[in-house]
Parts: sequence; C-alpha cells; structure tokens
Amino acid sequence: MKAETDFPLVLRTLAEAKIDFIAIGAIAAIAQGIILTTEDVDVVYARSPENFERIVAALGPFKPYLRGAPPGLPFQLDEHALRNGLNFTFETSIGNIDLLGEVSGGGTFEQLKPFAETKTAFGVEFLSVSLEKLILLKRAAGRPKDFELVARLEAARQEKIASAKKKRPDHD
Amino acid sequence: MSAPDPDPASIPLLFPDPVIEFYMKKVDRTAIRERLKMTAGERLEALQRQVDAQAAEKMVSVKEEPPPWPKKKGAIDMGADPAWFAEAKAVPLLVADPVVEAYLEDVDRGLIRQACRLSVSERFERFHRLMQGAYALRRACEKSDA
Repeated sequence: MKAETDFPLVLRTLAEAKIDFIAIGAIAAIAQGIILTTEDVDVVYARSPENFERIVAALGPFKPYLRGAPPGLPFQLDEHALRNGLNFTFETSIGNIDLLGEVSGGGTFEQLKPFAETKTAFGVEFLSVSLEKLILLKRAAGRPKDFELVARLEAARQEKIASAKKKRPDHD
Repeated sequence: MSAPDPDPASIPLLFPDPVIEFYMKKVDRTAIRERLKMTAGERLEALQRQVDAQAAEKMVSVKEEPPPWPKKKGAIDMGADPAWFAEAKAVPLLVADPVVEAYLEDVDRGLIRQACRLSVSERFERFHRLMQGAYALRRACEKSDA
C-alpha cells in the first residue's frame, strides 16, 4: 500500500519542534486559496547546526528514508547527513516530507524569509511563502506540470487584488 | 606479455561513501564502456534514439479515450457578479506569459473565489477531507485489485 501523509501531524511535528522552516509548494498554495491534492509537504529549512539537531530529533522517530530509493540503503538521518546534503525527499511513517536547503528562484531559508507569512492550519502556526513569491518559485521550477498551478495562482492573485479594490470583507 | 588491466571496479572512490557504493553495484558498466568508446556526437545521437524509443513506447501505451461525461460548453457560471469577473481578469499577471494566459482560460475562478472566502484554517480542513477521500478511494482500488 502506498504511504499516506498525515498532514496535520507533519505540520504539528515540524512546528512543535521549533524547526525553522517555510512551507512552499502545494501547502503554500492551499494557504493562498487554491484547493488541490498533494502527497507531500515541501519546506525550505534553515541550514544551521541548531536546526539540524531539531530536525533529527523531530523526524528521527518517524524513520525517515530516501523516497524512491531501493530498500536496504544504508541511510540514517543525522546531523552529518543533513550537513553533507542539501535537498532531501523523505518518506516517513507519518508521510512524505521534502526538506529543501535551497529552492530555485527563492534561495535559502534566510533569503526566502522576507517573503514568508505566518499562517495557521490544524491549530499550528507556521511560515508559508507569499502568493507572489510562490508564483515566482513555480515559474523558476520550470516544470510543464507547474503551468496549470501557476495559472491558478495568478487567478487567485487577480481575484485578491480585485476584491481588495472593492474592499470586500469576506476575502483575505 | 603485459600485466592484465586492473578491474575498474576495484579502483577506490574519490569520496568513499556507503550510499554511493550501494548505487554503484547497480551501475551497468558494460553500457558505460560502450558509451566511452563513442564520440560526444555519437553519444548524443544514442541518447536521442533512446528518448525517441521511450516516447514511442509511451505513445503506444497511452490510449486516448473521450471522457464519459459530456464536453463542457463554457465556463461554469457560479452566479457571481460578472463585472467582478471582468475586473479580476483585467489585473495584469505578475509575470506576463502567453502559456500561463492560455491555461488561465480554463481556471475555475468561482472555485478560487469560494476558497478565498474561507479562512486559512478552513482551507486546510477542506484539503484534509479531500485527501482523506482520495486515500480512501485509493485503498479501495488497491483492495479490489488484490
């Protein structure tokens, strides 16, 4: 059976461990008003030794493994592995988590942070990339499958600007 | 008589790493040797032939069938103010792009507008329910296939 991601638990785990991260990808798109399906949580994480420690302590119990890698690979999530790598796509017992040290068009956690907004979901507060930055990130990714999502994000942006002009209270 | 060439597999890695060693067991060395005999141009040609063969295989395996539902005649009218639709569409794109503009024609703005009326928490609750439904559907399919 394919892995199922427990999205509330993943976000709670990352937030409660005080991991410095910014949600990007589908999670950020949902925060901005696009309802879509996704199988994973994509985040850009801070590459500091303290954050490495928090990531290892928080995700270690959920047996992270490199997604798509053949079974039996001698991989262990520890600070050494995080320091020597950059972008990781993990499958864990609570679902798929992509930890990105750098992202095309956005750079590192520190470079992306000025474009992040605090959002609340499932009772958890976390940073999520702004709508405009998300459009730019998806464009920079340059994958054909992203064009459809870019169009939906652009439409959401147009709707928000139009509603702000009308000062409609029921839109954020 | 000259000494036999050393086995390339016995040459130590530049950066010893158990993960890379694991993957190296799966590397097709014969194919690499064949490629190394080629010129750069021949390698590119071989790559192109491989890509073409994969694309042809995909074309055969994907059988296009019309969907079982009637073709949509136009955008669904969500009963919203048409002036607002026009106003939103008039907002210039963040990055002008004819490809994105083409996709934009098919975007269901009514759905986006409804989602924008929800709080962020409510959007995630809906997403969570959607995913639970999708997972339940997938489990049911897997069960029926087994």
